Amino acid sequence: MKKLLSLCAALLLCLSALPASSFAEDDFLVIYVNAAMQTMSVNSEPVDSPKLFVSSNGTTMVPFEVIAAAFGCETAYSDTGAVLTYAGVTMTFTLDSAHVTIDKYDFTMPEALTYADGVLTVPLRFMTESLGADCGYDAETGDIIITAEDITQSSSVDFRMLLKYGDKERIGHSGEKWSFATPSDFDMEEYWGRYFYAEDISFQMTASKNTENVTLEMIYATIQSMYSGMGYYYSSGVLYEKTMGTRAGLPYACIKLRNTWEMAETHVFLTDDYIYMFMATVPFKDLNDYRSIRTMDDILSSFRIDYDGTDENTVDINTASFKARGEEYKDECIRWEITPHGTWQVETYYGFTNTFFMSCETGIEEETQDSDYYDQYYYDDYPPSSHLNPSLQISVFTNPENQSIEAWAAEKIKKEKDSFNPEFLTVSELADCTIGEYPAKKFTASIDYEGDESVLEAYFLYDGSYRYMLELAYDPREAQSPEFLENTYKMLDTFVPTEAEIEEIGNLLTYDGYEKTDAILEQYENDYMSFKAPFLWNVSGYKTGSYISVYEAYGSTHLYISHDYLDDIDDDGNVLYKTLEQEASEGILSMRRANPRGTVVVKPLTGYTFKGRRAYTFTIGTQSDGKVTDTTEYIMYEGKDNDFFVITLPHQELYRNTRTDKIRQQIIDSIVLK
Amino acid sequence: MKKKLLVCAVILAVFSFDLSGASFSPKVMVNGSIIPTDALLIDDRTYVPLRGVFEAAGAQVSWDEESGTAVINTGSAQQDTLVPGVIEKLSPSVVGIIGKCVSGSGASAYEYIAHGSGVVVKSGGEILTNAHVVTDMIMIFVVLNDGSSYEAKVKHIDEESDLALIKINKIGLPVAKFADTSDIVVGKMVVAIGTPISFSLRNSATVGYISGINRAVSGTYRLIQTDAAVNSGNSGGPLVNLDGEVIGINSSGYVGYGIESTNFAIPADTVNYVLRHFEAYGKVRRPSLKAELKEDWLAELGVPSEGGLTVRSMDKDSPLLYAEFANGDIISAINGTAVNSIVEVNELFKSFLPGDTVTVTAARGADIIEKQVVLAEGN
Repeated sequence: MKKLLSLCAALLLCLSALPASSFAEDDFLVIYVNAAMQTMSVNSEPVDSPKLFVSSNGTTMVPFEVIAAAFGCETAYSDTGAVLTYAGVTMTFTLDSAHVTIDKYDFTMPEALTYADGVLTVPLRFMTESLGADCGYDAETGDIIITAEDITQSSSVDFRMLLKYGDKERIGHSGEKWSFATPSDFDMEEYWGRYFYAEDISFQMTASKNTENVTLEMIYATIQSMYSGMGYYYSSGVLYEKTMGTRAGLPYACIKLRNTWEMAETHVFLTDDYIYMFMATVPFKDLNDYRSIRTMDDILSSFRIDYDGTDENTVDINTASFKARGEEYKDECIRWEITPHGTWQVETYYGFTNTFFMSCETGIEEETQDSDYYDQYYYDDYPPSSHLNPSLQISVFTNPENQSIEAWAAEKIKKEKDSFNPEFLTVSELADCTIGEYPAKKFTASIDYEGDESVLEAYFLYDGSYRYMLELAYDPREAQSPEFLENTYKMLDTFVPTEAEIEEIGNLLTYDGYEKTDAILEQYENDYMSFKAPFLWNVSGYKTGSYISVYEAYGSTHLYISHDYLDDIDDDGNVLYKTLEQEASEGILSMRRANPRGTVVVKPLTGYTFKGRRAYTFTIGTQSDGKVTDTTEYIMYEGKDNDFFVITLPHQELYRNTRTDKIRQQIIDSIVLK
Repeated sequence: MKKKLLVCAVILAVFSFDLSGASFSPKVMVNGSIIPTDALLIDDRTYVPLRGVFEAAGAQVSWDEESGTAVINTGSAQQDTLVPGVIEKLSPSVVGIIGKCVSGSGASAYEYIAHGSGVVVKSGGEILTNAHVVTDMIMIFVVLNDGSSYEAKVKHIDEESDLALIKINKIGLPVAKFADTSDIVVGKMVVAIGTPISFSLRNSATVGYISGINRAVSGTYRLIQTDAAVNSGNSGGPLVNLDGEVIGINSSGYVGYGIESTNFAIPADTVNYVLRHFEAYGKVRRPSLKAELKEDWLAELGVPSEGGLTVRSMDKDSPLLYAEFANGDIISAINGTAVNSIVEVNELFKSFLPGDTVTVTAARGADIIEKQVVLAEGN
């Protein structure tokens, strides 16, 4: 009886000391305990005289009732101990005993449940960890920090969800529940991870927490960059629709791409917390495929983020279905005719981008077809060369904004100038001409690079519905053969735009990246420095810590930033320290030694200050026949910790021009040293 | 002769009785169950029927009439009766771990499902597993013995020891008991419990023996070698002795040419070391010499060696450099304990924290030098 009374007394004492805040009101519980300072708080509410003590074996003891109340446990006391129920689990504590029964299992606490100053106390770590909390320690303040999530609401989940529905966190489990309707022939059995497959359409949906405050603009730019920067796979595609705005009341962006074998589209919805992304690809067989991807519209229209998750699927199935696909390939895109002359023939037809590629045999003698030269550049970024056969490329575009033919041609001229070093490029003025009986515009661009010449004749024609661009490219030496130009111009004169047979299916990708170079695609940071990558420039190798490569998505310009240390250990194990100047000089020397005849110092080592740090710059060129062809500029600047950075700027002289120099300078200028 | 056999029976059978009772019949408990015997207490000795006790203990008993010998055979019977008990005892503490992993990056990234095993170490939802089981998992589910599953978060991970602690929002879990390190001896029968190969075989068990200890294969610490089959899905599950105590955490089998049925487990003392550090510091605080030490070629081959460790190079903040050791010095002992392999150093360092001072003994040419070294913080 005496025990019971003291227990009651203790209970009353504890109740008076209980903080207002507990799990009942918050999802998250943080308890600070400092036995040395005799302080304790529960979710920032201090506990009055918490009666903390450390036992002789170093166990921190806390009031049982304060912990039980903080977690919102049900408690029952008897004269033999206490029974606590939390999250459906019963824990039986026995007074003056270290033995505890949790559910049906036995445990031994490091100290017994005991009265201290009339307060029932329990080992802190054992009790809180048994209630599912995490126990941490702040060595600076001496605080023991208990953190716990409210697990009373959490229930078991079916792990098979993983196999069937992939991201549980993202589907039906997070606060952001979402749903959408799918076509009836959507085969749920093939829902693997976040990918759907239904016949030929593959469809991926993701939702991710927007922890890095990504803006719609960044997503919009990133998808474009992704689609245009995936090398060969997507480079022959056209981003035929680009949208950024709102849809269903949410910020929304959409990019659609098509190429000769596939159509792909990405739709993004943004909420305050989440990024929802839908990506679909359909292999291209015929135009019905293209139309069937419109099913995405149905799916997107059914998109809801407030879905209550009442059924396990979280994905609604309705009766929409795909259209039956045509059996055979039908080309409905032709809107022109041309009659090949001489040896001209159709090489490739990029059906869906409406581009024909034609070529004819070269008239240049075999011996000048330097196979070494071809091999050398085959895998590289080879300059346009007469050693390749003459070609004619015919492309068709719509004109939704009624752009004038002059403005269109001017864009093309600008793009040409932007792509090549003006030193080697000559571009004529835009001139009137005719193709057959149709009035057209024309310009000529010539490249003369180290004796390798090529000519581009570009013709622009607009028939009121469609725009046509004919690009004829050849080595001027071809013109020495009288038949070549005769046949070619005769053929061009047979060009006839014809009636359009199908509905409008797209617009030319206007590559607007250059105008947006100042836009920040993403800000890359590490411990040492950060810089801004211009729009449609890609960054690779980042986070490997020592090497960053920045390159233009479509172009041939790039720069590298690498990181190294000034000290080194030689073979005998001696630590060697160098100055930055020594390191730079050795760099030049080793390059010279490696290739004494082919390397030339274009700009000698020069010291200067880079962003307030000691730095050196030099330029090394490669020479052939006494002429410098390509150069590499190095900027080495000091880090903080006996380390240094090197910015390497290779300049392939053919592609070097003010635009690329300017963009690279922008990247260098944007570097912020930490 | 009869008396001797009886003494044996007394030793092997677990019994309890009260000496205060005069005409008292002692009870006999074998492997946790009271067996019906008419045991007698005579002159402070307990006499029990030989066949009854031994058969209850799982042995086969026969009588050789010619030689007048009682033959007791415990071999196969032990496995048949004890192992199921061990599995039943520990299974509630063994969990399956299944998760989604992503391999590759960018457009070539693909997802796959991987699985392993784990052991409950805290009633409040903490589960121990191999680091390599959960390292690449982007979503982790823990499947309990009763089939229920919970999403798990990685709490701590230590790739050096290949151990990780994950946590689920479930309390009231049974905790596995770890064996005394001295109880880990070669030849002991062990059971590996886990989820091998296919996840549908959740909580399956394989039986084998401890075939070696202190085997340093490629790990940072010593490992237990066993012939109990440890498959990829067993990884992170417990290696258990016949008392149902965890002696180690299975790590996936060492695969090499010509090596069969050789598997490894991280011993309980390494597990305790890592768990203790997780609890105290949130990570394993490893002392380091910040130097590259080269083992004698024998040690490299895993053969016992007395060649010491040669200092190959030192970081600029190496405590050996501060203590004026030089490259080429051959370290023979730390705090008086001979060290001949990296694993031995790591094992020794388990008793120290960064900042602690140790005495390092090394040979430099014909000289023996001894210096105090303040251990640095490892990575």
